[in-house]
Amino acid sequence: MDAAERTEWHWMAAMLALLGVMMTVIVVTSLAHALRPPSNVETIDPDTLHLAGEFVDSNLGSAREADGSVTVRLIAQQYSFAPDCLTVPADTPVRFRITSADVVHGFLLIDTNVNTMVVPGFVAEVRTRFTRPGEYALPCHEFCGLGHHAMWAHVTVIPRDQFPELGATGRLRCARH
Amino acid sequence: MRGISRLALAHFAVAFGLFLPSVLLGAWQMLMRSTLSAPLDDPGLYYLSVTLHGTVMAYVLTTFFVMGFGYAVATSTMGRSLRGLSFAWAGFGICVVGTLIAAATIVSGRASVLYTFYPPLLASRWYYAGVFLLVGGSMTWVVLMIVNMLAWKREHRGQPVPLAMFAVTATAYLWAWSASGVAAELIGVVAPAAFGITTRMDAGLARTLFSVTLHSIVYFWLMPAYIAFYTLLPTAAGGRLFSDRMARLVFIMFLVFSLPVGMHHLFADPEHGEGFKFLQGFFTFFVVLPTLMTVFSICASLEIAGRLRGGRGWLGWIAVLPWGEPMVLATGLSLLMLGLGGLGGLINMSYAMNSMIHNTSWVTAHFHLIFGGAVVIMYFAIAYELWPVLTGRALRSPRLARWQLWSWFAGMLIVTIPWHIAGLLGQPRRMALFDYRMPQVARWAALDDISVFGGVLLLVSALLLAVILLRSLVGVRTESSLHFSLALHPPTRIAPALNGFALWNGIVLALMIAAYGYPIGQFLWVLKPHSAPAYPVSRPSLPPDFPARDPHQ
Amino acid sequence: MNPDEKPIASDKSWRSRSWLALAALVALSFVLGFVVLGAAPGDTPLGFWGAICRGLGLAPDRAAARAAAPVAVVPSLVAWTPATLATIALGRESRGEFIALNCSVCHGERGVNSAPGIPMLAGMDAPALYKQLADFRSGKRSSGVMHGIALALSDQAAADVAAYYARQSGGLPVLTGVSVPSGGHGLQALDSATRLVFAGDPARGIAACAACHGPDGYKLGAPALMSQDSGYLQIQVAAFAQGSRHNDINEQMRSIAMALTDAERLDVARLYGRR
Repeated sequence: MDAAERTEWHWMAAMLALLGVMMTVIVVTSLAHALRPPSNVETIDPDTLHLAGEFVDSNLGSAREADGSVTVRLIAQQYSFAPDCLTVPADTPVRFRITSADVVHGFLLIDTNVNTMVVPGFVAEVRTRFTRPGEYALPCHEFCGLGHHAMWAHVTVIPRDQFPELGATGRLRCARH
Repeated sequence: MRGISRLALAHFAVAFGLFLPSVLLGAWQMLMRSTLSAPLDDPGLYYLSVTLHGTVMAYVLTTFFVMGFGYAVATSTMGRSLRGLSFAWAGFGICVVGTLIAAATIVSGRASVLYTFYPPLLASRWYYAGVFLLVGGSMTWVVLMIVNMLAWKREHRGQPVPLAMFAVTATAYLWAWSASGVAAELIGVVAPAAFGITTRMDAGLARTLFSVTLHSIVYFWLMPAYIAFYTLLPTAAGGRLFSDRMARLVFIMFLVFSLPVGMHHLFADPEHGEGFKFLQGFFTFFVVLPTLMTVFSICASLEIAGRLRGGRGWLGWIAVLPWGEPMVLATGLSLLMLGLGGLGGLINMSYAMNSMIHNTSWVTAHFHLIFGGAVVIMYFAIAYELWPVLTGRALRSPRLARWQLWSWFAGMLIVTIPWHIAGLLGQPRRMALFDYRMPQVARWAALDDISVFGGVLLLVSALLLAVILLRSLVGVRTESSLHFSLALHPPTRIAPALNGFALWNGIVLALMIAAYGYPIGQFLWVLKPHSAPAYPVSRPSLPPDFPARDPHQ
Repeated sequence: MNPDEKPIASDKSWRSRSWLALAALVALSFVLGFVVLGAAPGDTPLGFWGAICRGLGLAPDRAAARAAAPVAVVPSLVAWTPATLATIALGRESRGEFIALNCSVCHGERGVNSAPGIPMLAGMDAPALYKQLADFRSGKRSSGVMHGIALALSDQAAADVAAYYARQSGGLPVLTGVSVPSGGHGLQALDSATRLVFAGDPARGIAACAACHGPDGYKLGAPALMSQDSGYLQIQVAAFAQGSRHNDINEQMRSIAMALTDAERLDVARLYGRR
C-alpha cells in the first residue's frame, strides 16, 4: 500500500466514524424522543370505504378516546379531503388515521412534521401533539391528478379546555362554510 | 475511432437535442407557479409539462448521455474499435423509437402521470411501452460494456483494467440492477392494467418496486461525473490521480450501496413497517461514503496539480489551478453544488428530519441542485472534452464554454436556494398554481418569483450549450484523443476483486434479498388483498365501458 | 504469472473480508431496526417477537378500526367494485333503447333536448347514470318521480338504459381526459366562473370542476356538464349546498357546493350549461 492509499484509508476511517455518530444520533433520538416512521401496516378495501367500516361518512372527524387522546379520521380522494375542516385540541396526543378512496395522495400539516403518504389499500397513521393553537393548512403534497393543486384542507387547533366533550361516538369537524 | 465517433455523437445529439426544449419547459413551469402571469396558463398543460420535463431529464438525457460516454470511454481505453458495434446501433435505434413513442404520447395529453408513474394512475399503454423500449434498449449498452471489458481482460491477462473502463462497466452493472425495479413494476403491475388484463393495481407493490430504481438511478446518472473527476480532471488540471486502487473501491461502493437503500424514499409510506425502513436508512449512510472519499481524492489530485504549477502554502495551490479549462472549472462548480446538495441529502435520509420536508419543494430543490447542478454541469464538461475527439474539430470556444458553465451554476443556485427555503416553509410539490392570498402561501411568493429568474438564466445557459456544440461541428480540424489520468502510483498488478465484478454482484444479490426480500414478498404472500382500481388519465373517445355489439340482436 | 514477483493481495482475503463485513452490517442493521428500536416504542412495551412483528408491521393496533362508532350514514349503496363495473359493462344497448322509450317524455327523444330543469341524458357516462338510478331506487337520492321509476327498473335494466344513453350523440360530450390546453385557465383569469371551472380555488379547497366534469379531465361517476341543462345544474348544485342532495360519495360535491357563493353557483351553471 503506498502512502497516498494509506492516507485515503485514514480519511475513510474518519468518515465512517462521522457517519457512525450520525447513525447513533438517529437511533438514540428514536428511542428517547420517539421520532419514528409510522409502523402499522393495515390494509383496507379502497372501493367500499363509504359503505361500512371505520371510514364511513359519519365516523370521520375528531373522536375522543377513553385515555383522553384524540383520533382524527379522514379520507383523501380526488380532489378533496373528507372532512375538509378539522378541529383538534392542543397539548393532547392526537392520532390521524387516513386512507385513500382512489389514488395516492399526500398529507402534510404545514409548519409541523405531520407528514405522510396516503396509499389506497392502506391506512396511514401519524401521531403528534400540537403545542401551538392556530389554523394549520393541510395540502395534498402528492400528485393525484388534474385537480391536485386545489386539494387543500385545514386543521384548527384549539386550546385543550375548549375542546368539547364528545363521548364514545361523538365526532367533531368544524363548520367552515 | 470513426465508427464510435458517429455512435457516440448520435447519442449525445439525442441527449442534448431534447435537453434544450426540456429546460424551456422547466422555465415555463417555474413561471406558472409564481405570482407572475405565464402564457398558456392551464393546469392540465402544467402536469403534461412536468411529465415531459421529468421523462426527458430523468430517462432520456441521462440514458443517452451515459451510453454515449460509455462507448467513447470503452474504445479510448481499449485502443480498438468496439466489439458489437452493430449491436450498439440496434440498441440506439430501439432507445430512439421508445423515446419518440413516449414523448408523442405525453404531448398528446394521454400520459400526464409524471415520470414516476404514480399507480394506480394509469397512462396510455404507449407511454409505458416507450419507456420500456428506452430502458430495454439501453441493456444492449450494458451487455456491450461487460463483453468489451471481459474481452480486454482476456487479451491482457493479469493486468489491471484501465480505471475508466472499470468504472464504466461498474455503471453498466449498476444500471442493470437498478432498472430491474422499474422493469418489474412495469411488467408486474402496470402492464396488466395498461393492456386490459386486469383493472386493479397494487399501489404499494408498485411503489416498492419503483423504489429499487428510484435511488440507484441517481447513481447511474452521476457515475459519468465521478468518472470524469477521477480520470479526466487530473489530466486537465495538469496533475495526477491520487490513488487508483481507492478509486476502484469508490466505484465498487457505489455499485454495492446504491441499491439496497431505495426505501428511504418510502419513509412516509404506510405499506412498510419501520424495521426495513430503518435497515435501508442504515445502508443509505454507507452510500454517502464513496462521495466523501471522492471529495478527498479529487481535492488531493487537484492539490498535486496545483503544487506542480508552483502553488505554495496551505491553500495557495487552489489559485494557480488552470481554472480556464472547462473541465477544471466545472469540477470546482460541481463540488460546490455537491456540498450543498449533499448536506440536503443527509437531511433527507434521516427519518426525523425527513418528516419536515418530505414531498415539499425541498425535495425538488435538492435533486435539481445535486443532479441538475452538480451532475449535469459535469455532463457539459465531458461533452466539451469529448467533442474535439469525436468530431475531429476544435471546440468553439473555451471562453464561451466558461460563460455557459458559470451561467448554469448561477442559474441553478438562484433557482434552488429559494426553492429549498420554500420547502422548509411547507410548500407542497407538483402544484400547478398557488393562491398567493392564502397566508401560508404568501410567504413563498418572493421565493417562487426569484426562482423564475434562475430559470431564465438556465435557459440562456442551455442555449449557449447548444450554440457551442453546434458551432464546434464546423470548427478547425484537429486530431485529438482522450487522455485518461495517470495515478500517482499506477498499479501494475491488482487483486481480482478490484479488477472484476463477480464478487460484488454476489454481494449486491445478497444485500437485495436481505433488504427487499420481505418488503416485496409481503405484498404477494403476507398482506390481505389491498389492490385499488386503475385510474386511467385518459380514455378513448368512444363511450367507456361500452360492450361489444349485442350478440342477441 | 512471473514467480519472481511479490504476490498481490489475495483474492480470497478480499472475498472473505467483504462477505464478513456484509454479514456484520446486515446483522447489525437487523438488530438495531427490529429488536432495539422495535422493543421500545412510545406506548406499550413489546417482547422480542413483538418487536420484530412491529418492525415488520405485522401486528398493527386494530383497536382504532374497531372502536365504537356512531350509526353509519351511507351516502349511496353503489361502490365502484369490479362487480359493479362488470354489471355496467354488460348493459345491452338494444334493451336500453326499448326501456328509454318511457324516459323520452321528460328527458327528450334519445335523451336530447330535455324539458327545462330536467337533465339531458344523451351521451351521459354509463356509470354515472347507473349510479343515479340506483340511488333513486334506494332512496339515497330523493325525487318523487324518479324514485318510483327507478324502483321499476332492475339492476340489469338500469345498466341497459345507461348503455343506451351513453351511445347517443347530440347531447353531452364524451369525456376523454384530453383537451387542448389554453391560456386563461389559471387563477389570474378575470371571470370567476372560468377560474372555478378550470383552476378551482385552493384557498377554499374547491377543485377545478373541469378536473372531474370536463372538458379537461374526468372521474368515474362524474357526469360531463358541458351542454347540460343549466336550470338543472343550478338546482342540483343548490341541493348539494343545502345538503338536501347527499348521495355524493365521501361528500365530494357537498363540500364544494357549500363553499361556493350563490352567485358562483349560478355563474358556473351558466358557463357549463346551454343557454
